Amino acid sequence: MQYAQLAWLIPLFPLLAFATIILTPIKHNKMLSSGLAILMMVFSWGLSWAIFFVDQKFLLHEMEARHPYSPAIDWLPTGTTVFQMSLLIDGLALAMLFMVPFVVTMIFIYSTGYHNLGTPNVEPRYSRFFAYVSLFAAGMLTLAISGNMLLFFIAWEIMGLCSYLLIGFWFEKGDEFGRLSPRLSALKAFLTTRVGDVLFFAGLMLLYAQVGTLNIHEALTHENIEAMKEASFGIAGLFAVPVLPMIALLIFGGAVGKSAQFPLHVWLPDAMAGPTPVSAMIHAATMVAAGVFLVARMLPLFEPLHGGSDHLMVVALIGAFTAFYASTIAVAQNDVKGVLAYSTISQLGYMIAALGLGGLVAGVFHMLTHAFFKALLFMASGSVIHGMEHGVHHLHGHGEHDEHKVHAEHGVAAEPKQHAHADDHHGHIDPQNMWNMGGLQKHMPITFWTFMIGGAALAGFPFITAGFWSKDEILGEAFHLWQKGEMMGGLVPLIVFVLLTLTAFLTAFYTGRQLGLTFFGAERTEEAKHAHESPPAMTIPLIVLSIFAILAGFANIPEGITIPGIPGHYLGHMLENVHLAANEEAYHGLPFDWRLALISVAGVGFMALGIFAYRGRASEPLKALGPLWTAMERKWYMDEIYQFLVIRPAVAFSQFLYKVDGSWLIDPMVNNVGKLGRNWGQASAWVDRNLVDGTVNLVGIIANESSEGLKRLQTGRIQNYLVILLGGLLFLAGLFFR
Amino acid sequence: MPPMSLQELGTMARLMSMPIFLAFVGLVVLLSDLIFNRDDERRWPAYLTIAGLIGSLFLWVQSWLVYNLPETDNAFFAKARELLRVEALPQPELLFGGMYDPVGFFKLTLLCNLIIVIVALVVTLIAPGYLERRDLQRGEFYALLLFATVGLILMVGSTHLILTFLALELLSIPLYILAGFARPDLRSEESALKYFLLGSFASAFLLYGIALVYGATGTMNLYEIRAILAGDIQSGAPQILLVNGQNNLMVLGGLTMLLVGVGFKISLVPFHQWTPDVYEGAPTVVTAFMVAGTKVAGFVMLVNILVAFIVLYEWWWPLIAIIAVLTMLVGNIGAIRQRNIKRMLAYSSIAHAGYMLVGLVGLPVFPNIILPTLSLYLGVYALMNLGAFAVLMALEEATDREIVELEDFAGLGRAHPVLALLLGFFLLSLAGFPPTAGYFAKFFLFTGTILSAQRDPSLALQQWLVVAAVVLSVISLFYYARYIIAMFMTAAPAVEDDEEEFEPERPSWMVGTAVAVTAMLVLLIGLFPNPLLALFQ
Amino acid sequence: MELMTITTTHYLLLSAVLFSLGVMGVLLRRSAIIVFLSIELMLNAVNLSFVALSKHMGSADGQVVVFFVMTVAAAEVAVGLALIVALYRSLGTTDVDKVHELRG
Repeated sequence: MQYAQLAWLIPLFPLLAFATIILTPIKHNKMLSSGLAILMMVFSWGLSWAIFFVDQKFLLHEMEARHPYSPAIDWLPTGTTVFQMSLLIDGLALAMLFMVPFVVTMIFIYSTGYHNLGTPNVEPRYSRFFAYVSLFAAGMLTLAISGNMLLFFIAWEIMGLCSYLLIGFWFEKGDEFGRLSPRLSALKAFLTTRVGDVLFFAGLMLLYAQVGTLNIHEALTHENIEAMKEASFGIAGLFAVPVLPMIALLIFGGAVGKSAQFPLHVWLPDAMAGPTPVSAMIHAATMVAAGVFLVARMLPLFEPLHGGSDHLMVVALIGAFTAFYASTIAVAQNDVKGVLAYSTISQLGYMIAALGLGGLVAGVFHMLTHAFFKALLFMASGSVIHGMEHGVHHLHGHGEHDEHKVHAEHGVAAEPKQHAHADDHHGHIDPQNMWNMGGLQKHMPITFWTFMIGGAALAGFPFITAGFWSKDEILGEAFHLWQKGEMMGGLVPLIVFVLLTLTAFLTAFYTGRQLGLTFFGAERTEEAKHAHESPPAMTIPLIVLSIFAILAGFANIPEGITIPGIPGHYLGHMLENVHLAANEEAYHGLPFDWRLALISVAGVGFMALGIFAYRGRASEPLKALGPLWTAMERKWYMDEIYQFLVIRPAVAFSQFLYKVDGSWLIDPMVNNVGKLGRNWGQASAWVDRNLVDGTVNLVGIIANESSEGLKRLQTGRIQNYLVILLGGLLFLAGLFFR
Repeated sequence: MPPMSLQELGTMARLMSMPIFLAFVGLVVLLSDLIFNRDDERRWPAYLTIAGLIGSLFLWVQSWLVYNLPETDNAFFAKARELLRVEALPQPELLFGGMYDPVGFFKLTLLCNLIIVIVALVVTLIAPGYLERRDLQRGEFYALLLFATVGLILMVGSTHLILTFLALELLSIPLYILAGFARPDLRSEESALKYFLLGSFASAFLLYGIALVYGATGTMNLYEIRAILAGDIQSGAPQILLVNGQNNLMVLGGLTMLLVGVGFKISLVPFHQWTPDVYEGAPTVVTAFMVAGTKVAGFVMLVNILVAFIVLYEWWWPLIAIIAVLTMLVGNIGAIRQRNIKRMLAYSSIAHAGYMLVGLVGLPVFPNIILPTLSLYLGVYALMNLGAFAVLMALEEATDREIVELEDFAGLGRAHPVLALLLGFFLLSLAGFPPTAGYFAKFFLFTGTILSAQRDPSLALQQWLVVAAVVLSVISLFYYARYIIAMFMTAAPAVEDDEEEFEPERPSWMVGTAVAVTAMLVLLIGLFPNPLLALFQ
Repeated sequence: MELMTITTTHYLLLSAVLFSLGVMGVLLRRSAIIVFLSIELMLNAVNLSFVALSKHMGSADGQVVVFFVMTVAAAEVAVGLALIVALYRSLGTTDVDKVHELRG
């Protein structure tokens, strides 16, 4: 374990990049800033993979011996105990270390191209962008390896902050094409996830109160969980609330916020207002996985291996519902990023559902493969938008509405008003609307092929894509539990299974729709005809990620299938003992089931249907569905429901409170109390003036006067000082010879 | 003592490499002044000094590694131990006939060496600009600074009273010159003369104290003194001055005089009176060096001496307690009426010496708690003061006027918000405002004293010392906050010419680095107190 | 008649007397040079103690100290006189009592 000892450096590298870019004049040099950020990220990537490949055996062995490698240092003294900062590098952290730094490095490289480095259109806040994403990377990596929930929470919040900063990165832009403005989107994301964060923190406090430590591997032991199972606490002495479900659900609340599960998913589609698609990519591949990771870390609290608890079923059902619900919305989206945003929510639902069924390996596996192919898809869609913008730019000369150009102008001579009405089409089109595209296959071949691979993985194209293997495992998990009749006699797994199967079909369909609209058929607009392939800085990461979108699936080949040269259950073996100390049992993978593969084969049909149905078509065929379509397009009116149920009542309530405060209750009360108080006050004022003030003043006067006296002693004459020195000596000597 | 082989000599030289190297750099800098005599080359001695100090940081890391490499089977550490030839090292007590110990009790010396080098580094970073503005660029400044630094390092590591005395003089003589460096400025000269006369008077007492201790115990080695007083070894000294049939009188007299000598250097009341005058008159950069460097080294020296006389604990702790109370009182109350920030910081440094003495009172009961916290306190203290002085220098650069009197601070919060905020941060940290580094340092230090008072009922009185220290440090907030209020809440005096129109100048890289380094370190200690304390344990 | 032998104690007492004389000189004289000379007297008084003690104990330590002290004293003279001369140039006097601009 030469490298694991250095694990703490992994988040430190990007943090250093952040600090250096923000604090030093490097920020004035765009090339240098991004170069530094990328270099630091590459260091951290190299170290992570060194740990993954070289130290894996040792770390897994330690884990199996029930003392996972978890170095700790004391941090904050709190009376008798000390909060520690600790790392925990077990199988779960290793899996994250494989994925996160690699994907983030790819984003960094891609961003240089996306922000037009080296062209006159370069992003004016380019250096700041790299500082923010470096901070984000530091947060994510800290989260991945932190062994203490407090540190985990700090990293979690750092990512929340970065998310806010990056969504609102182009804060001067208005609401274009019916999309929420970046400023409001950032606010929405921050406030919505905050609801989850508060629940999460409450859960942590409760956990700390119960077990007295927040170090993960000390808190999650079998004894602790058994003890918590018995314990309950009373609210106002009335209800006895069982502790374990309470903690588990509160912590799950954090995951619901961060991983955009129903009903806190509303922020994620709007988060696409950030720089396309890089921050969107953060909101698709890595950061939103943090919620899934949190549930995976805390899974023993849900007692997954002992028949499944009630609160575990909540997790499974929420996950499955979110998966289905979001996929129906994704079908009706016209924004190329919007489809992917809802698809992300849907896929996160898959992972949560898998964890809810106790399938740690399946959930984490899907998280990893999803990270690769969704990163790929988002970056490819960014490339598409970039290409489309190129077309817009080409057609409209000094295209003032080019995303970057406009933004650059605002940096200099701000006139944000102009933007508020950008919706009114100053003769240009929305480069993100798929109905403006079509036929891009010819103009952007690399983007097309990589998008195709990503889409196939998302749709679960059988056997060769990563998405197939991981999705299949989740479905298998549900199917298996249903057959076994666990969790309310198999009812919950059955619901999950049905919902997820439907989702799989829908996913394949909307992916096909997206591909058909974007790449196939004839160009629908002039702009699309002038679209242009993106620079190598963007396409190379795409190619690299598309390779991983295929290969990552072979990380966990189930039993029943042997592929020469590839060890089966590789990831499974890495993860099976993660919660050994808490569960007293390892996680086991399932054998391969041909019946389930048929679902994915059917998915291919849906994908093909999507492609052919939308190829070259000028209008939406599904409009025939009528109100159902409208509901899907309007996201099942979720934003409206929130507006009605939460925001309006909240505003009204605060206005009510203001009134209560202002005119009815508090102020009159205060006035009357004030009158009463005044009389008392007059009495006490006398006491005050004469006694208390006197005392305080006396202290002041004494201090002042003695200071004055000291000043007089300080005569400035050397020999006076010497006399006092000698006097002091004699005084001391006198004390000695008493 | 058996003759030493060349190799042994080499090993010893390695452990003493820091002072040796720095003395060498000092000579080089002195000579370099002959070469760099054109006006545009005036900064080169400073650059040389910085390079030398950074080099000595590497030497420090080397000696840190030598004494702190974990003894595990890990291949990496084993290799490192082999490279550094750790096994071949002699015990520290044997170095130079037991005169020099690079580690000290609980690594106190080792850590203070680091603090001292950082102090010298920061002072060298802020000095060139200051000297240029006053047309004082003379190369010997840096040479003298380096020699004084060597004095500090030797003082901290000395375990023999001869070396202690020599190191003290090696520190003092360059400082006398540096205090008067702004010649022919009368105030600078006056401060130098005061420092010189009072300083040599005090060192004469120190020397007399050494003579008395030597006469009583027959040795000047601190380890041997401790052993002899404890009765572990028979003293070679025959009874000379027989009072009541014992040597106690001579030892106690010697100890008292030693305390006077050391107490003068770290400005304990009643030997403190030179402090405000000298600090005010000396060039500001020299003041920074004296505030931070001298105090740190002096305290380590005091600890070394007190440990040697640990057997006489019953005798000296009430003494230290009384001095502590007096020092805190005079320091804090004296600062209240000061309107000159250098003078204020002088009194504040007196007050801080008092707090540290409060920590020292419980020394023999819990040395394992008190000494690490003391080194943390010393480090934090040095950094806070240096930071404040560095910001003052940066402000001077930015405003192009001297900022010393309270009135000069008016309106700075508006004109230079970052620097003003930093100064406020350092001042609050000096006041021990939570959750700054200053707060944690005080918290840990006083915890040690409280624990020792609880351990031993006869020492219960010590708790009241802590109470006094806390009350007085609350008072101290008043005089620190005054400057913050002046910066942020009073308007700048109306300026006739359109000076205000100019873009505020950014501080030069040297001063900027000094400010950044100190601020970063203070912030770091404030944020992660425990890991750092663990490092010190 | 018994000859009074001069013991180490006598030397030490002489040293103490000389030291006290030095202290008196420092405290009472006004001229910076004389004050400085008195400090030198104090140092040399201590030297006397060292030599006497060294002889008494038969160890060389004390005598070595004396050499160091003399060296240090020489260095102090160099610096001290320079300071006094510099001050004389600015102030026109060497009276230490006139040097009290820094106070309070």
